[in-house]
Amino acid sequence: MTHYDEFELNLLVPWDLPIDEQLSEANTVKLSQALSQILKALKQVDVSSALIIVEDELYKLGSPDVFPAKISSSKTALKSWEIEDFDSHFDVNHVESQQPAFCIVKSLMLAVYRMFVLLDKQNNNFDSTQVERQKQGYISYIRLLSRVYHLQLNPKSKI
Amino acid sequence: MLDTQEIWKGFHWSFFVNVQALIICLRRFESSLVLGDIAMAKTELETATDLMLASGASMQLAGSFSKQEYESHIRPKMSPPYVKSDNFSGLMSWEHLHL
Repeated sequence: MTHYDEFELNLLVPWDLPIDEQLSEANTVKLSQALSQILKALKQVDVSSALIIVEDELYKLGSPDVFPAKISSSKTALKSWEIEDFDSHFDVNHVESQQPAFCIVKSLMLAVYRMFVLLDKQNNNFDSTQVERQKQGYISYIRLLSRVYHLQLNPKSKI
Repeated sequence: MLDTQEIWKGFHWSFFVNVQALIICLRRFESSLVLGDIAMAKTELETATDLMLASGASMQLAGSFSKQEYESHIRPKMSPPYVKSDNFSGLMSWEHLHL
């Protein structure tokens, strides 16, 4: 059994993805702290140390309130059953949420977590250049979310 | 021990998250242009570059095994009866098509 067997990736439906949103002060602080810690994890040389940080943040974040999206129209050429077929294969759910910011951050954290679980496996031969590109992508996504939600990331996490 | 399905699905999660980030980023790029905020547009475009590179990287990492392993362990699970579609492919990714 792997670390993440209990998890499925909940993705917000595409039209709910935000570009600019002001959160409550409490939620701003909470997400700023969480994403600062994920930045710290992405800078760790030791994968096991990174995993501990991400696991801790996943625990603190908890489970945002989500419900399955009604995919009556995908607003694309895809039929709803095709989306569900694809999602099912990859253990993904498309959801709607009263806490979209938390849902987005949780999906990012789960993807980071799953990457580190794979990198932590012995005898892996992942291309180190591609791993660094993916890590940089996550770092840039965190900075993007800090602009969307007006978060204050810990300056010590700056790269 | 690394399992090919874990690799395949694990780095696809990275890809889906990268593409969601790209959707957000490019919408902000478009909004910046409309507002005439060229500095912000530049920031968003630089972010989009990182995210495009990450998307390519995640797909390469998802295929970190031999063609033989793909044919024997991965492809069959993307065919009936494991899935409904006779023509299962990445084109069925909602985020990807939306982007």
